[in-house]
Amino acid sequence: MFPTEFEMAVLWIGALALVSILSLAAALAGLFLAQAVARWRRERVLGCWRPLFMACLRDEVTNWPDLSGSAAADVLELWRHLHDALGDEQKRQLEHSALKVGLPRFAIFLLRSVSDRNVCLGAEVSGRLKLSSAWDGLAGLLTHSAAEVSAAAAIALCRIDARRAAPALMTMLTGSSRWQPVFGRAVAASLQGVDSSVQQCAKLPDTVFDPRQLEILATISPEHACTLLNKIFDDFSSDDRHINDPGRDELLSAALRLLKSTSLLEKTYPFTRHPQWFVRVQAANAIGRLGSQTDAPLLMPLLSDGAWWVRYRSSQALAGLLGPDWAGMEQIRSNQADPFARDMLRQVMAEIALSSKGREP
Amino acid sequence: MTERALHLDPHLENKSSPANTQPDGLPVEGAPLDLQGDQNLLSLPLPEMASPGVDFSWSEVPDVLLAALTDAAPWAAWLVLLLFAARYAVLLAGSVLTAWRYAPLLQIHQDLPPVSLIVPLTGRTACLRAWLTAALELDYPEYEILLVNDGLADDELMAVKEGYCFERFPEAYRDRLCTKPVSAIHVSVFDRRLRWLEKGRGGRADAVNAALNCARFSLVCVLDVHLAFKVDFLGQIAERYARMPDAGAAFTPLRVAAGANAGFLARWQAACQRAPVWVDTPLVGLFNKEMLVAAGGFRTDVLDPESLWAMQLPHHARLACAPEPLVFEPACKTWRDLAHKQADARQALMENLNLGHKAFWQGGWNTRLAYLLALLFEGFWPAVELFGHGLVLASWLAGQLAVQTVAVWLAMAFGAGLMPALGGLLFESRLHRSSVRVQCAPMRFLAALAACAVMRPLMLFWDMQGLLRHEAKWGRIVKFLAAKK
Repeated sequence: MFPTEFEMAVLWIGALALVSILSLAAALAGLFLAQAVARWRRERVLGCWRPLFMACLRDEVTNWPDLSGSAAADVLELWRHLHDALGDEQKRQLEHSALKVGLPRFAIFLLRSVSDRNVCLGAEVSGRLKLSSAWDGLAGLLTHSAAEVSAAAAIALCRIDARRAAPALMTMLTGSSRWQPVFGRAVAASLQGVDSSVQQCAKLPDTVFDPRQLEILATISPEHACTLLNKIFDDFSSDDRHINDPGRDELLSAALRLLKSTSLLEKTYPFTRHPQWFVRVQAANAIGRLGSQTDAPLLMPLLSDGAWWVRYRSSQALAGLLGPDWAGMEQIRSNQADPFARDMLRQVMAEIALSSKGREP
Repeated sequence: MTERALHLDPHLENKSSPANTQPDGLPVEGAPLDLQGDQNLLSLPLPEMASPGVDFSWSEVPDVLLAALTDAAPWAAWLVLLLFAARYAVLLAGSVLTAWRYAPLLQIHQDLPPVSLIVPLTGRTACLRAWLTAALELDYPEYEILLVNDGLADDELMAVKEGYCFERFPEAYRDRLCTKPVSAIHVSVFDRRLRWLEKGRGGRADAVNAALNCARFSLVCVLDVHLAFKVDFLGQIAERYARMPDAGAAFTPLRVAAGANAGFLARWQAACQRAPVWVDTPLVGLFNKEMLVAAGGFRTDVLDPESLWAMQLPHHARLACAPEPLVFEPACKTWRDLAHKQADARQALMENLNLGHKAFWQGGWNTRLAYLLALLFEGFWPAVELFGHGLVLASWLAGQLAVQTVAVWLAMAFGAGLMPALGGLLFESRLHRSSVRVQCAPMRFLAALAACAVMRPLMLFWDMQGLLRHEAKWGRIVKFLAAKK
């Protein structure tokens, strides 16, 4: 016979299981109910406010209803959506009406919300309305645990006063990897051309750069990035210690990718013989992007490179340099001893031919 | 000691003999012990001497075994009860934690990495035209679609090929992965994002490997033609991938789609969908191409190579999850299809757990724990569950367990079956991207409830079938519906 303890254990575990299932079902029912109520409320709010916002773009609206706290998030979301979609003139009218309705108060209030979604919404609306009163709240959000919230606050600060925000944001952008590349690029784009951030870029030491920082720098201050690229190319040309150092090679590859000045093109020529294939690819790209027909001979050895991508990019670069000289391309192809080079040139020529076609099925 | 060694004195009745004792009452050294005058002892028959022959009898074996089993049954029952309780706790914790862990993405960025979408054409292609129309309208900045014809000669395929104006293209094909030979590559004049590979019959994974050889972008996503998807599915997965600094792959769970006119089976499958925490949830993934090529591509001898690769990712690479319901597979319409699918899923899980064990043991403690939990609570669970039910029912029939205990036991098993479905519902409602309308939620809950009661034994049977299979049969069933002709 089984011991009584066993039967008691089965009963207890069964009871606990039942309670947990019922709790889960109750939580589920509550969530679904809350969703249904939220949806119903949202539809009601949008039905009331959307026509008013649309009307304020055409005429002066005088009978704005009182905005309650429970409807604020939905109204702010609607306002943001419209602000995103409209032209500059209409944006100003929308901002004017937002001030009349009292949206700034709710936007600042949302910055303290427990929901990340609401905090982002509050930050975005504060930024679009250029609310200097939200500055402290937004600055406090820069260290928020969610990168999305932190980036939204950073972009809002840039919108309010980019010059004032630049020092703190530049420190965050270049000093740590707090933001993932997608957010880092968005924040850097907000600081593009801002004097104080450009000055900050100039002060940065030019010895500790990594590809991510280089990209940010190139977005914010192309002039300073150009100086830095020059230094990087000089370093690599004169110093053989960097060869086969993957970290440094990636920096060189990023530098070649970000190069936009023809004045530095000559310095990229030696990198067509770099041991790393991804550096050779970027060197071929840079020559194709910035070079002229006289640079074409530099690409010839790359056509029979061992790496597929080097052959492909150098063929594309060659086609770009030679332009519509189809016969020239054909002659280069027939002169190639390497069958891989011939195949690649044929592919690139076919791609170019294909791009000129296009018809409906 | 036998009675012959005893020296009995009938006059002393029940007292010890004073003979053979020293003056202090202690027995003399070496003297035989006297048990005097005990009539009960005297009446006992003399024991027989053991015979010098064999003392083992086969007829006693069943009795001995039965006795051993009867002794071991309570211990086995305790063990199974503990396992049931542990699995229940893991399911509950998994459901709640998954629901609370994942939040919907607040925004999707536009500068996402380009993706090569690989579409192996290995079987049914009736819906290819409609599928392509949808795939070309994806809300994603840059992607290409590689259709790989795995040796099919289908009228529908030819019609689609003509419709989209595919022309032969002189591609410099590089065969980094060994596959069946690729005979031709075509590019659509209508939309240059479309490319078409013709190759010899080699199965789904072979077709995908061939496409990996000529994929242009560093991220690849394998998508079968029978799958439906949301227009932003690629953005959602890629965003999760881009946000994880060391990601090697990102995946989204496959959900079963059941339309308004779906029958009982389809509704039941939709009702029993799980949250994406479970290792046996089928998935659609976005993979880093270079990592995959360096590892030799997808294995061609397993049922679910994508899940296997997700398990075998190198240490430095992490796995991102886009948990929202984004990609949908059609529900099985017949019992036979469902049985095959269930058995295949179990077999694929066991194959992957078997082949992926090295990668798991090389990981951290959480990876090891996950592997152990997966092995015990998912992989071998059908066998444990079947054993537990058998033991409890047999004990009840033998009169060793009260009927109330058996009833509670069965209710507990029923609850454990219901838990993943409840977890799935909870998860979807938390994400606010539920594929279930609010009005349908009670029906779905009731369907899950009924299904757990009715279908559980069947599922257990199919799971056991999958568990006991020995070899992968990719030629017969490849991702089940994809290969069904």
